[in-house]
Amino acid sequence: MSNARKFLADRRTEIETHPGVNHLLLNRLATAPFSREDYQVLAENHIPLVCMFTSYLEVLLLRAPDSAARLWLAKVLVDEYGEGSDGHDHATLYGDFLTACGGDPKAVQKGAVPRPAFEFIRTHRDLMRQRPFLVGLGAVGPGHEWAIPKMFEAIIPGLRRAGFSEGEISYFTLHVEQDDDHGSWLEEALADYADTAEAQAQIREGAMASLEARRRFWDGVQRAIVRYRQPRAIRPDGPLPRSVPKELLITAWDGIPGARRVETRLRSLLRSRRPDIPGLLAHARSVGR
Amino acid sequence: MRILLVMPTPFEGGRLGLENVVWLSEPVALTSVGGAVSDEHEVQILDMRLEREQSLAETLVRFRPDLVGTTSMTTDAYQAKAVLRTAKQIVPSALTAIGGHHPTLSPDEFDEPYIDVIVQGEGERTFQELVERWDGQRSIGQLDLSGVSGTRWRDGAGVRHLEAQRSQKRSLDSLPPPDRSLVSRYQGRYFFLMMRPMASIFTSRGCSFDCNFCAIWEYYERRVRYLSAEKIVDQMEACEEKYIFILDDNFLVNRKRLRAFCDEIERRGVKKYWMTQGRTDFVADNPELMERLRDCGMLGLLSGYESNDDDNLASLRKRSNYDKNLRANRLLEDLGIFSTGIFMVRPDWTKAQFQGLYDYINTLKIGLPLVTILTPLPGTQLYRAKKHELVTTDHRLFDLLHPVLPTRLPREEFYAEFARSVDAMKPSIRAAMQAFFKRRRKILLPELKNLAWFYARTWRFQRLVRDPQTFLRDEEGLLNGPGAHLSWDDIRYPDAQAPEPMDASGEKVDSLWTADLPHSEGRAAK
Repeated sequence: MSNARKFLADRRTEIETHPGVNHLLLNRLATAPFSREDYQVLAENHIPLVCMFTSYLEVLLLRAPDSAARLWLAKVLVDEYGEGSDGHDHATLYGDFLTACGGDPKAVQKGAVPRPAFEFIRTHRDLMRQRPFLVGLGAVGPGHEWAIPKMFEAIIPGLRRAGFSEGEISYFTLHVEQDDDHGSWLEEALADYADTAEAQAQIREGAMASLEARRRFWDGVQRAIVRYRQPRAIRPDGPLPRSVPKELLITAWDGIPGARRVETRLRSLLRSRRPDIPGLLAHARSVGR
Repeated sequence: MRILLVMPTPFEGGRLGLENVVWLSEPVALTSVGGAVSDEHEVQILDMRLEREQSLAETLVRFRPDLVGTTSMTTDAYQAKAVLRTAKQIVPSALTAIGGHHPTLSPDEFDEPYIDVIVQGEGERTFQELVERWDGQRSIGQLDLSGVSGTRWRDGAGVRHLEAQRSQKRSLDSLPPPDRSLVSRYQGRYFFLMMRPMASIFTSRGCSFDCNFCAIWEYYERRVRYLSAEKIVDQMEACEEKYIFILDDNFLVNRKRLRAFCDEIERRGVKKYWMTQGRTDFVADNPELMERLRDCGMLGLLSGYESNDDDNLASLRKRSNYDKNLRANRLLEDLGIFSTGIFMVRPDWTKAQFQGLYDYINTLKIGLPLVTILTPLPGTQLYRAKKHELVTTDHRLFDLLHPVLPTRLPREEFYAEFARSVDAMKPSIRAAMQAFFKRRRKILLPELKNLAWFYARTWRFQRLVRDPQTFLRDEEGLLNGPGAHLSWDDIRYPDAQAPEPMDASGEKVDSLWTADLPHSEGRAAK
């Protein structure tokens, strides 16, 4: 096995066992009966990532150093635009899933992107634009295409248990099949470059940064699902020990009649500062040009 | 060999629940099995109730365990499975094992590709043998646990094998003691009410009663075994903590043993405050012994009062009555022993019955009344009788705070009555606290800081419980059990004349251990 192929094989193992790919939330989705309402929260948080993915590839396509790399990226892009899914692009397929959950894709498009998704997108936007090409390729190749089949394999059984039809969850089942191909194609693109220590370091940097962002994203989704069920039952510092004064302060804050209104307004203010999905896409594509 | 033992959390990280507000005890199940192998192997315990979510994955990556084990009660069954699924994904070469109450009583639920071994019954000896065997194999594809009693294991081809039942007749004195050093990094974070830091020990296993809503007596095959008084006091002396919770399901059960325990405490001059669980009929019938236990450090008692109605108590096969509950609580109050009482409302209750219970609690003056909902927990007689009427099969809702059987009142009204308990029982708490403070001032005064800490947490929790929407949001979209569409007329609840089921035959107990393996082609039991 060549140096590059061995490096990529090692990365595949590293990615498939990464905490971001094997997040506790995903394993909970696999083992516990979540409801359609829970999946709606997940979908509303997840759909911005789906909508943005092609923009990463488009930026990389323009930055690719040669035709070979452009070819592999273009092949993946064509699939994402709907080549392998009867002309429906992946964002549309995900919208169908969101509708099946009880959500409204149009409303989600108009609203501000949820914070976990926004942070994930910002990380990736920076990786694509500000870091070397191979860092970006590491993020979308190993960081996405190698990771997604494993993550979705955890999600799909739970969706079936919740009563979704195969048509409603086709976005997920399609990706388990397609991303195996996409992963192989991007591995071909990477194999041509991953023969120096510097290149390998850049590819790994991109993949790890993407997976770390993914881990934080799943943390945020987990929190959103709990908050949906119990808006007042969760505190950001979770189970960590609190001092007596801190415990008293939290309680005093909860006891103020207007505290909930203040929290809601603050959250709404922060949300209004975040863009919507079309805004993020327009920004990403303008940079690409 | 590196062994990681994980205590799952029954709810997602950061969420406020009864368990992390009222009582958080050490994971004794894990310190017990860990203690059985910690001399020869590197053992770590991860208590997910006290850890951030990501620490599981981080520990798996850093520690690279050869074996990952977890335990499960009913409510945390999914979380326990998620722990082992995560472990299998991150460290595929590690052996994954699960034991505890729920896997013992409902093993088929854990027949999953990511669970290599299901341990049934008490775990110390089984775990020792399992670890020894795995240490010599270290290959999932070659796994062979033939002859390791008390296990259901999956071989390299995915076939589940059922080994013989592990005998649970050994003297508790002969079992290795729990290794509390494995949870030393969490020291100070376990508590009961305002009492912290608190250590946890057990001194007996099993229960001699046969309540139809409880599976303990079936789990231990109707046998009760005790640790000797010397061993109990050894453990108490080894605890650095001032407070100890004796986790026995029913500590107050054998007068001779309790007298020997008091003798030993007095002989060695042990000064510890301890709380435990016990029955009110024992308290009412043994005032002198209770006084002596109080003098030996007994500070609190957690008891299942269950009901204000003798017929209802009979329907649950509780074998106690209204009068004994009343006498017991008067005695506890007089002795300055803090009473925590568990009560059960029934899904078939009317508003008047709710009010009757709250009035009764206020008459009793219980220090901390915990009102729960009668729940047919898997493994109990009640479950076997009512499983076809369950409105949900989601184990997270079997937390005694959600009715999993159809309710007579509309669920909104039922929860409104249930949520009212927070305010309706305040006179009881106030009166009991005043009485307790009067008698045990010396103990309470140094704990004012902890009292404030406890008050703050319970205040926030009460806000949640006071709101019926809390419960309705919890169960939204999850009421899809076989009884979800049954009308009230379809349901028959047990009553005093016909407790469910009519009798508790030994046959039912044995069937837990010899059930076939429906989802695999495993060998017959040996």
